Amino acid sequence: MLFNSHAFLFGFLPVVLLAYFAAARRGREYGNLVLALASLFFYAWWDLRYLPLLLASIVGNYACSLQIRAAHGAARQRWLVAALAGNLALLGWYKYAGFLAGSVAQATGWDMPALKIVLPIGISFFTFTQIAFLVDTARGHVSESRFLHYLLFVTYFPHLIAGPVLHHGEMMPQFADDRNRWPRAANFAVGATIFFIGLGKKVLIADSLAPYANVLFAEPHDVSLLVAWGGVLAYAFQLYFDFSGYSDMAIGLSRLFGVQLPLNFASPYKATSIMEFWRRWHMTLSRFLRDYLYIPLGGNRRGPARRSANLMATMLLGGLWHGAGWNFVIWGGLHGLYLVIGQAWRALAQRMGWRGGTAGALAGWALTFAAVCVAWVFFRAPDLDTALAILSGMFGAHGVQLPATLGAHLGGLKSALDAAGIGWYQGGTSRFIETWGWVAAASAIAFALPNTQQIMHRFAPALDAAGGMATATRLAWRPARRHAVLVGTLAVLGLLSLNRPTDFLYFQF
Amino acid sequence: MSADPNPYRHYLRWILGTVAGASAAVAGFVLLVDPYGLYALADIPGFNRVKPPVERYRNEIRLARAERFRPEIVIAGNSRMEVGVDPDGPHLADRNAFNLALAGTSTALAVDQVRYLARGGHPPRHVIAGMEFVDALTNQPLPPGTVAPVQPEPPSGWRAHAWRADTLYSFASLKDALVTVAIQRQPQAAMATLRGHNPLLQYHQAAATEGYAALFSQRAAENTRKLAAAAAGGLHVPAVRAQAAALIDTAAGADPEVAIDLVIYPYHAQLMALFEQAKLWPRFEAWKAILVEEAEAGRRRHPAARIAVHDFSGYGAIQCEPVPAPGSTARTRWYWEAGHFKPALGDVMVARVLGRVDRRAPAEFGFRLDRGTLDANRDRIAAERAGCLARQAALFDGVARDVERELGRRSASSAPQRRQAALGTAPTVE
Repeated sequence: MLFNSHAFLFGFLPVVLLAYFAAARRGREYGNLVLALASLFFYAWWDLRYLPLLLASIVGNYACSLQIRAAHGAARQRWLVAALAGNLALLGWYKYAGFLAGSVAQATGWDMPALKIVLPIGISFFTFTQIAFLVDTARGHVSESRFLHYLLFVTYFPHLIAGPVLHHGEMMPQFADDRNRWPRAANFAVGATIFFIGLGKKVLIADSLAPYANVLFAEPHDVSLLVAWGGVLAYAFQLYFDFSGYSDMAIGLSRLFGVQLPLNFASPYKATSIMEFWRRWHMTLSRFLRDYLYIPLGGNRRGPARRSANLMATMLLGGLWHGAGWNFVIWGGLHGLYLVIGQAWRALAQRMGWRGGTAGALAGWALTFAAVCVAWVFFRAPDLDTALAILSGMFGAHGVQLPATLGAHLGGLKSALDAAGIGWYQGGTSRFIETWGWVAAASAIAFALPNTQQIMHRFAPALDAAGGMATATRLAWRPARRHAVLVGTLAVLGLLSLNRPTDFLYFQF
Repeated sequence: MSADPNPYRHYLRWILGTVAGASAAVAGFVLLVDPYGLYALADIPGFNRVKPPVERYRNEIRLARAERFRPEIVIAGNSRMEVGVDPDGPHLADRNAFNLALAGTSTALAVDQVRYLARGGHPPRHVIAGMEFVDALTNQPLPPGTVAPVQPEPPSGWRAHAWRADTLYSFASLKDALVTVAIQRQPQAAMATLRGHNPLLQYHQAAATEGYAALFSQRAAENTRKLAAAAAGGLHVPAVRAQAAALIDTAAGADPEVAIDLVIYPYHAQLMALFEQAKLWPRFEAWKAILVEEAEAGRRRHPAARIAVHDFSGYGAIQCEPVPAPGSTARTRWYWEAGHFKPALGDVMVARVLGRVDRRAPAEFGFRLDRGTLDANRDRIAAERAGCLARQAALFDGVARDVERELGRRSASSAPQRRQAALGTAPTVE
C-alpha cells in the first residue's frame, strides 16, 4: 500500500487513526499495541510471505539485545558480533546472494543455476535500524527496552518501507510520551500540511518527470548532448522530489500520532560541496554510515590517506547497500572519489587561505551538482552499456542537436545556431520541450524555494529541523486561512493525481 | 487569527472545506465538459462538441460509447484501423458503424469487445477486423508444442466500474476537460470522433512543418528496429489460429448470420519491402494461409455466417504511392507513413469489403482470399512488385540499406548484451 494510494489515504490511515486514539484513551500501551499491529498489517499488505521473516528478525534481535545488556566484557562483544553476523547474513542472502552467484558464474564460466531470491521489502531499512540498536546496546547507550516499544520502533509504518533510518534514542521516548494519547489539532494541522506538501512533490513533480527520464534510459544510443542532459536532469529531479516527497509524507504521517521523525532531506542540490551534499541527502543513512561504519573504521583520526581509504570503503558499501549490482558499486565509488577529492581540495584551499567567496560557492555548487548528475547515470542505468552510452552523449560525443521543428520557429537565430555547429533532428519536438520545461520548473522549485522544514520551521516539523532553518519568512507557514486554502488546493491536486501508476524509487533499496 | 482560541481547528476546517469545494468543482466541470463522451449532459459548439483522443481507459470508454450507439457494423483492429477507417465515411455513414479499433492491441481485444457487446444484448451484425501480421511474429523460433497464450480475464465486480470514478475525478480527466475546451477552435488539434475514429488531424501540422519524408523516415526507423529483431524468429501459429477462431466463434455465436470480414492491411510498399529484407516474407505468406484456413473452418462451424478474407497488401498503385523527397512540401494521398493509411484509403477498403463501388480504387486493389486463390494472389503481388520496383527503385534500396545496417548493429551489440544479462546488474527486488 503506497502512501499515495486511495487504499492508504481513505482506508488504512483513517481506520488506524481512529483505532489508535480510541485505544490510547484507555492507556498509552494500548495505543502503541494498535500502532504496532497496524504497522505489521501495513507490511503484510505488501507481501504476507515476509511477515514471519520481519517478526523473526525483530524477536531475534530483541533477544540478542537483552543478552548483550546482560553480558559484560568479552562476552558482550561476542554477543554483539554474533548478532551483527546474523543480521548481515540475512541481508547478504536476500540482497546479494543472487548477485554474487551471477558474478562468480560470469567470472569463472561455471554454468550455475540462477538464484531467484526476491528481496523482502524494507529489509535494508529494518536491518540497519536494528544493527544500530544492537551496537548502541553494546555501547551502553540504550536505556529503555520494552518489547512493545522495540517492536513499534522497528515496524512503525511511516518509516518501515523506505526509511528514514531511525535511532532508538529518538523514538522510544516518544512512544512512551503520554501527551500523544489524545488527538491534537496542532499535530493534525502540521502533519497534514507536511504530508500534502510531500504528496505534491511526489505525484505532481516526480511522477511528471519520470516519463522523460525513462525514455532516455530505455533508448540511450547516439543521444546528443541536450537530449542526454535533459533526460539525466529529469531523472535527477525525479529522484529528488520522489525521495523528498516520501520523506515529507513519512514525517507528516508520523506527526498525526504526535511522533516526530528525524529529518532526512535538506535541499541537497543547493550544496556547494560534495561533503555538504552528503550532509543534506538521505541524512539518516549518512548518519548511520558515519556512526556505524566510517568512524569505527577510524574516520579521519589516522591521517589523510587512511581517511581517504575509509571514505572510499564507506561509499562503496553505501553504493552496494542501494542495490546488488556493479552500477551501484561504481556510483558509490564515484562518490567516494568525489569526497576524497573534495577533502583534498578543502585542505589545499585552507592552506592557501582561499575562501572562494560568492564565485567560489557558485562554482562549487555547479561542480557538485554536475558531478552528482554524472553519478546518477550509473545509479539509474540498468547496465553499464546504457550508462556509458548516456555519458558519451552528455559529454558531446554525438554533438549538439535540436528538434528541426523548433528550428523552424527560431527565425534568424537558426542560422546563428547552424553556424555554431548545432544540428537538427526530426521528430521528438514536444518531448524535448516538455523535458526541458519540467526540468526548468523542477529546478526553480529545488533551487529557489525554501524546503518543507524551512516553511514549517516555527512548528518543529522534524527532529533536528530547527538548526539553520529559520530562513524562510515570506513562505513561513502559519495556521491561517490563506495557508489552509493553499494547502487544501495542493491536497486536491495531489488527490486528483492518485490514479497514476507510480512507485517510490527508494522502495527498491 | 490571533484572537482565534484554536487556530489549528480553524485551519483544519478550512483545509477540509477547500478540499471538498474544489473536488466538487472539478467533478462538476468534468461532468459538464464530458471529455470522454460518456454523459452527454451538454453538447455545446465551441465548448465541448469536439472531443480529444482518449488516452486512458480507452477500451472501457470505447465500449461504453458503443453500447450507446448499438452499432450494426463494428471495425476492429489496431491503430491502422483506428486512424484509417472513419465510421462516418461515405460508405459507412448510413450503416450505424462504430470503430472499436485501438492502437497497440491485438485480435484478442477484438474478441473481448465483440463478446462485451453480445453480452449487453447488442451483438454486431457485421465485423470488419484488421488482422496484424507483425503481431504474429516472434523474435525466437517457436519451440515445438507451443500453445496459444491464455488471455487474462477482464476485471469483474466493482473493479470493472472503478474507471468511471477515475474519469470524473482525477488530474488526467481535469486536464482532458480543459483540453476539450481548448481544442474547439483548433482545426488541426488531436481529436477523435464519438464513433471511435482518430483522424490524426495533428499530423497535418507535423507534415506541413517537417514534411512527409520525415514522417516516413521516423516510422521506418522504428519498424526496421522492430522487424529486424524478428528476422531470426518464427510465427506464432497457435496464437494466430486461436485468435482468428475465437473472433469468428464469438461473433457467430452471438449472431449466427453475422458477416465477418478479416482484412489484411494495405501496408505501404516501404513496409512490404521491409518484410522482404528482414526475411519475413515466407512467414507473411504462411500467415495469410492460416487466416484462410481458419475462415474456411469457421464457415464449416457456422454455415449461416458470411466469413471472408480480404488481402489489401501488395505493391499496387496505391501501396506504391511515392514518398515525398526530404524537403519537399508535397502531400500524400493515401498514407501518413508506411504503417498508417489515411481515411481516404480506409473508405476505399470499406467499399471493397461491402461490395460497393468507389471510383478512387483501382480494380486490383483488395483481393478476396481463399484456398483456391492463394497462388493467384502470390502472382499478383509479384507482378505488382516488379512494377513498383521499376518506378521506385530507391525506396527498395533504402530499405535494404537500413535493414542491413540494423542487422549489423544487432549482431555487434548482441555479445555485450549477453555478457551484461549474465551479470544481472539491475536490482530485481521489491
